[in-house]
Amino acid sequence: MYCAYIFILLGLMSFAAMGVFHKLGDILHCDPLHLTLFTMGFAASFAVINAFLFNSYPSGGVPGRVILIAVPFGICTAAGFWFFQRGLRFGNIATSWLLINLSSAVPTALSILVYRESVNGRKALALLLVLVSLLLLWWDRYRDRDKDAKLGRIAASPTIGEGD
Amino acid sequence: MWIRLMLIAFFINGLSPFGLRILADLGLASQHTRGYLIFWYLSGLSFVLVLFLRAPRRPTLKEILVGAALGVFSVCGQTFLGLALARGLAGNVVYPVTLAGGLLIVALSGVLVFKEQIGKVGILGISLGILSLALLSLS
Repeated sequence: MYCAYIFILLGLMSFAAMGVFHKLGDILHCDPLHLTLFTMGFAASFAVINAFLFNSYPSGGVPGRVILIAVPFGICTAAGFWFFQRGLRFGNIATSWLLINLSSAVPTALSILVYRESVNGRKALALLLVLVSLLLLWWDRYRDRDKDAKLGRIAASPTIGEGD
Repeated sequence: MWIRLMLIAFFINGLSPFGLRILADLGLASQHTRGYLIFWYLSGLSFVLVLFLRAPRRPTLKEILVGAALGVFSVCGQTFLGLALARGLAGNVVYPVTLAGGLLIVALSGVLVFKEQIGKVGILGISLGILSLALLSLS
């Protein structure tokens, strides 16, 4: 069990490091498309190595319908990553990272709508809080922009001097 | 611009894990999740490659390094999460701790390391967001 706590800590640090490296990419003026390209490239390589190294894949191969499902959702992942990195130029990592993590409410809502999954009180409260949180983030950003406009500044990340 | 791009990212990124739900519904998840993930990453890579080849520009070393680090941490995060679950920790402990804890660390590093300024409304939004993520992963 002690090992499990080490793994949970390492998992937590890995996800946190992702947020920090997204911000570093912004500070270092990395092209969002290039970052997406290399992230997907390295992640795909690791996924392939992992599957073949640990011989964890059945000999029958991948069924066609598994590939058909994987393709559109894989494209969504890459596109989401790209838009996130582009958007980071105009906002804080703290709020942007929250927003992208809150997107886990989307599959929950879709499961309720498509598969008629039951909605208990906790799930309903969580979805409601996601909405309130999104509204508060929008409001915070709107106030920031308003404040900056009054001061004659551009409401964008200080690391970026270009438009989009 | 921030809210527009982030909302697009929010919906598109939110859609991406739904494929695993479809896979589970078809009874294919237990046997084919690894194969699914390979094609999931490869199709994402092909999509970006098409965009890249439309206007190719030589990538810099820092882009390669930051991209590699993001790829490594993404795979490491998923692997350690799986290992923690496999060693007997319950999902209702693992998911809230990694999601909400990771978010808290990133928010703190944004303020303390990158000197970002967040208003009271933003802090309230982050707190509610962390709470909602913890509740979502518990349910």
